[in-house]
Amino acid sequence: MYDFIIYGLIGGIGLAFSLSILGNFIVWKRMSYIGDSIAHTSLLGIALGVLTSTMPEIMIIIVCFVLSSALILINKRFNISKDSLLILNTQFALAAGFVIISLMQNNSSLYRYLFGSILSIKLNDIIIIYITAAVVFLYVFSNWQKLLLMTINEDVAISEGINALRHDIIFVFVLSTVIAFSIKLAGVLLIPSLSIIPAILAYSIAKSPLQSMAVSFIAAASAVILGMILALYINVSPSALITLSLCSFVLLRVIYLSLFRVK
Amino acid sequence: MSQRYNPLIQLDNIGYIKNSKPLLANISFQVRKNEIITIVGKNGAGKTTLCKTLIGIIKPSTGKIIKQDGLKISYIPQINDHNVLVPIRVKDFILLNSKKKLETADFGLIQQLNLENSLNKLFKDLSGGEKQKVMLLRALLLCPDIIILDEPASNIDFSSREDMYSLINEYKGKNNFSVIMVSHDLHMVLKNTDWVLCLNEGKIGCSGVPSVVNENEILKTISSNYKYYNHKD
Repeated sequence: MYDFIIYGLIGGIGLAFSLSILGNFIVWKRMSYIGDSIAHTSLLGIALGVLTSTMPEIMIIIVCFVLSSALILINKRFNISKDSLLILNTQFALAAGFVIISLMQNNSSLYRYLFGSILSIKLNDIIIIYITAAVVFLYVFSNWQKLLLMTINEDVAISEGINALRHDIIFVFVLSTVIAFSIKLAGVLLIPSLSIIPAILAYSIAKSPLQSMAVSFIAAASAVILGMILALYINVSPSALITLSLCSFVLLRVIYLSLFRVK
Repeated sequence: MSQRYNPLIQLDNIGYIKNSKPLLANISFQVRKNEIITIVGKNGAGKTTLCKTLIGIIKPSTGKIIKQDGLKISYIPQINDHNVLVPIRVKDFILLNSKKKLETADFGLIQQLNLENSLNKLFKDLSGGEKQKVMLLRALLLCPDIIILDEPASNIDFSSREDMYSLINEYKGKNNFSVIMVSHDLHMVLKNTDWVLCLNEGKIGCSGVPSVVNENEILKTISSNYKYYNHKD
């Protein structure tokens, strides 16, 4: 009877893991807008997927990966801020996505992917979520030291033989994959929330990178649980409640730091 | 003066053009084992660009760079280049991407740099000068063949700067590495350098052993910054 809640919770915690782990690197790299940008870019992927009758997830990965890699290469050539380039990416993908959607005769199936509910998670989705979480875990922790050094100073990392461009592109590919498989369940709103807000909270608490990962995962998973329990009592989208829970954690931390005058 | 044979790196007529503007042109020189090369020049002369070309961060538009196989380079960038959002302790940062353990690290070196009380601090909480010392410590612990330092003495007070230069010299003798340093410090250029390279608008204005290169030429090259660093004995 309550299978959908259990599945929602298990799936949500899996999503919280992948997104919060990657979110730390996004915040440290000062590219907070990338999660948002890729989530919006997926609209173009979904539209192309429906148009070509391909699995939308595959098209999302391809579109997000191609556009984000192009951004990395443009960023290497033109010394402009990353956030400005990400907006270029988002606006292009949104506009192109809307054009395709408008031209399509039957676009009702799009909404399933755009505003999917975390409570509609099936067993198959849970398996995919945990496979992507395992990929994130293996990728991040097998390249842990390299990723950290690259984040602190990319030039130093390159001088010590790390191929920074390759790692940047792999990072974007992993992020695109996680977002592609999350979007049907989490929607555009929840993805940036689960990746960026926990990392913001962790930044004010953690004394090591690993601690930061742990704090952000605990915060993201707690918000998923809290948001979904609240959604049972009030008829509101769990995604919005999860996001509000995360924001309230940050607010509580700010109040705590202000009351106790901790720096 | 060290023996100038068997180059670790050889630059052959290097040029680099960005947005139709030549930032480096006709740069040729060699880096040999166990020598200190100091690059001097006004702001915008191409010093940092040259360092990044040596490391491989920037690919030259013309010419070629020949490096010895398996050459290990450590780079210490300018202080403002670090991303300080990562919450990492100094003791973890100095051995990041290295197989060494803190227990086996040279504690004498840590003491010489006055960093023994900073090991448990977060890197982001250190002062600019301390961060530079941590970067130097990290570079020395990696035991590279070449250390490239981009203005290492900025943010470090004069007495510490002297200590730093003598430390680099001491460890250069012990570990047989070469040093390429960008500096505005005339004292450093004249006393502790095997080879001076004066850059002027991306080209080599003058180069050679400091005693041979005309001191006025060097002074002219670094004049815009000279007033800050005139500590000649």
